[in-house]
Amino acid sequence: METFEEILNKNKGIIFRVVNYYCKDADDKKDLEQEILIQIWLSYKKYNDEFAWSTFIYRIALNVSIGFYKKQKRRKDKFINVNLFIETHLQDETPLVIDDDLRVLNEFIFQLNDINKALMILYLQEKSYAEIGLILGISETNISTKINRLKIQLKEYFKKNKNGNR
Amino acid sequence: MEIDNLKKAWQETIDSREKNTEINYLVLKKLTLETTSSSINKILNFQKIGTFLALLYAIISFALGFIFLTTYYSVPLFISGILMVYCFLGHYKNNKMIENIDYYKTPVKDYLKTVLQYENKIYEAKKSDYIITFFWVTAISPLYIKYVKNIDVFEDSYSLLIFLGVLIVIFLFIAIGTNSIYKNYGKKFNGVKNQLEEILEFEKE
Repeated sequence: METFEEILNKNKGIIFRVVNYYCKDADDKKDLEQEILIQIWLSYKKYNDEFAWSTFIYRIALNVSIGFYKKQKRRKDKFINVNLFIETHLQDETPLVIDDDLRVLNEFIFQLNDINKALMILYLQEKSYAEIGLILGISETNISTKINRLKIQLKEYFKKNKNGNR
Repeated sequence: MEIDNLKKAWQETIDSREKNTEINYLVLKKLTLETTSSSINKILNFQKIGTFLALLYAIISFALGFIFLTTYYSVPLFISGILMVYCFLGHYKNNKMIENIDYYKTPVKDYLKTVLQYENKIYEAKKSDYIITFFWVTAISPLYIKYVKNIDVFEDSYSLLIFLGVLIVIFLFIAIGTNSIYKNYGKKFNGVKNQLEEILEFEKE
């Protein structure tokens, strides 16, 4: 079995994505990523290879982000106030997207509710409907319908924000 | 705007950003050594203290019941001991339910449902906890007053009246304390409730 660090290193992108889309504030990001990490650590030894690690890391990350974390006030007394992820080449404040299309996409994701946000991230990550279903506990048919709606919303959002505001 | 192109560009940007990210192993090491103190675990820990106290109170009741076996104090002590065991077992079962939640195996919707089932169990136990605690205080305090203050509350009607007055005050304090604890729980669980409703609505749409 791979070590915790190896698994984390291979799947750090998942935590990175979820944390960046579910929190805007830097301190909240630190707090959320640490909370996710602890839950992954607690689940690590129970792993069996029935499903991919990425599926379960998504599950854990989204369970923490959607389920319980966000509604609480930040716990200032908790944990170490240091980033878990160190940016080696970019500055911390570098925007997540630079390209204009990606900027609009990013804005679109941020304004979605928690569930749609999760769906959008998983869709962009090219997860299959079956895997998205496993992560969120929603039927594949439902996911397919929702994703189609999200695509339509995205197209409309692009029309408005690319032609109108900019 | 082609969605497929956008998807590809999104992945590339995120991937390049991710590649430039390293895990801070010092922080990771410290974190994995910490025990989790997420909100749900705070509630669970509080419930565990209550569970432990119920067991402790049961032991105290039975012990005193046996010590004062021949007196009229023993009957309420045994009854309150049995009620405390009931309280202990109920809480123990509820705690196990939430301890067994597996972030790893549970999809988001099922996770939220389990947390809310736990909330329901806690609220179901609220009334019985309150009554049992009050009964326990009522059973044990005459004995305490007799052996510490040397006053037998059942000796005359005046002492009994004072005792009942004090009990009402204690009753009110327990009620205020219990309500404030459960109000606080309610706030913590509301977020989960809203999220689950959102998912259920989402499925219906």
